[in-house]
Amino acid sequence: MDITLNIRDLNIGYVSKKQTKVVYKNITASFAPGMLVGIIGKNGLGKSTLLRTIAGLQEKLQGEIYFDERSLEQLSKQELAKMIAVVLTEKVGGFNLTVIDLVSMGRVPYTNAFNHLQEEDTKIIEECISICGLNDHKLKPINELSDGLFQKAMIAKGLAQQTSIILLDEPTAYLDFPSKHQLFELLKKVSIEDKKCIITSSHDIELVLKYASHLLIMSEDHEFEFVETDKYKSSELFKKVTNGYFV
Amino acid sequence: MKEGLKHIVILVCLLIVAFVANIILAGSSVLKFSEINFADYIFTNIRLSKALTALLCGISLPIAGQILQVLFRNPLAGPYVLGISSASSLAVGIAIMTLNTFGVMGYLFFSKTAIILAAFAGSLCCTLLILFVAKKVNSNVFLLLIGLMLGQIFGALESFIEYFSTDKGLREFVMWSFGSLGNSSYIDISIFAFIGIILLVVLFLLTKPFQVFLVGQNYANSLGVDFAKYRMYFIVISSLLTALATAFCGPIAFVGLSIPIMTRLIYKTSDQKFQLAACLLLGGITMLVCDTLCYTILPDRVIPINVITTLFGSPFIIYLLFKTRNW
Repeated sequence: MDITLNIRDLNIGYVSKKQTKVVYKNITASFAPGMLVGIIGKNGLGKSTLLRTIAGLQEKLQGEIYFDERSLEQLSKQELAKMIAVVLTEKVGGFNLTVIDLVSMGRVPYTNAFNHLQEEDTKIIEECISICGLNDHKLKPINELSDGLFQKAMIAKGLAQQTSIILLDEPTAYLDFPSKHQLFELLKKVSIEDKKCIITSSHDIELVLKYASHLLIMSEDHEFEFVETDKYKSSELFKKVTNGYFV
Repeated sequence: MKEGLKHIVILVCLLIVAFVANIILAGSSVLKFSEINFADYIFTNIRLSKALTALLCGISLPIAGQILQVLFRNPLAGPYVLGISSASSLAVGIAIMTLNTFGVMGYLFFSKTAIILAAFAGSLCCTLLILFVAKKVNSNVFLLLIGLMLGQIFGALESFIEYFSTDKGLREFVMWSFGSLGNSSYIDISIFAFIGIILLVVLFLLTKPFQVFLVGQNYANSLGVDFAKYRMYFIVISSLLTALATAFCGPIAFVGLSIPIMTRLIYKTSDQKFQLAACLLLGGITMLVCDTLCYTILPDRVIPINVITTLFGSPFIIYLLFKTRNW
């Protein structure tokens, strides 16, 4: 299940009839199991676009995305769903969806045509709920959750998907300070204990520095750096992106 | 799941009661026990056929509504809101006026077929428009507004045609737009039931992607469910169901929008297999009860079905909304 994600000379952006808008160019990085990668950079640089492109939710413009030996194009949607889980910024809820319903969605790539949950599926769902500390909120409608619990529920869904890679788009936005810490602690724990590769964008730089194993730094000038967190002090780009606040 | 089965059994029993009560009560007089046999003209050709039509209508519209509400993740969506019903009406209006102009309205079989085909065509055209718009934009609110505007346009065109119509054509069209359950022959009912059942079976086979649609486009795709592909299927199924009901019974208001809301408020589960089954049964019950009320509220007078469904359904939903508050 341990998959290494390789990105080479990736150009991301949007294509319309009239024009191609390149958001970011020449991204190259290699993500291995056990990494917790924090993507940092200003709003509007293409952090979400990058995550969406890797997840196959959006077409890449150029370059290569490889999962071990296989490229993104070679994988069916179903296969991809067993490799990558996503936690996006959009809200989900209503229609009587409860936490356990949401987490059960994670089993969709594995269930039969009638979405019948086997005993094993149920076990996995319960486990993921428990890992994310949601035991007391299992039957709560998602609408009634606080932002922190909602993010945890989304992560539990991602865990239930049993992928080797989880992508998160600003999961700590709107959270209060303790919840931010809890969330990163959870991500750290999962990345180490379950040998998952977790890639998350975040504006909480101090938390990223504390918990992430690697940094993916994006700047306004399309410069790009992928470094181990320990070495952030020697990164010129990091200094530039954070205006020198953290050095 | 066992709990769910219990609710379904209760609803089925209620449906049977409503069906029998409708046959006995919904007419110019209460049927005597001796009259309930297939040899009796009134029982077979009026009461039973009307009850079956009410049942089919009550099944197809709420299912169509539920599909669209889940698809757009918005409880305001429904066949009516997206302009699909209005498009059917407009097409039927055009058909009736044209047939009248050429003086061929009298040939009953021909004109009935024309109305049914027109309703189908109208509904499908609107569906294609909606699909086209849906491809261009991601925002659900945007799409709903477009649907509403389309409905307005069709409504205006309808008024335009009405204005220039002959008296006879206008009268026929207005009568059609009141909605009627009593005009269906057994051939109509068979076609309605046959296509309806095929659509329901297809929908049943698609309950997994339907369930996943609850989390929206991006998450559905990330779970390996091809959103764009299934969205097509669901829009086609829901508009065919709407087209069927509108073609055979006229524009029946309200049940398509309200029953799905009702089932979600009453049964607190997100399981779409259950919600669809509940919609289907509760829709059938509601139509049968409403039709019975049409005939029994005023002595010697029959109230149009649309008046009753809206007048009794809306306050009930308001009550449920206040009672449950969150949803």
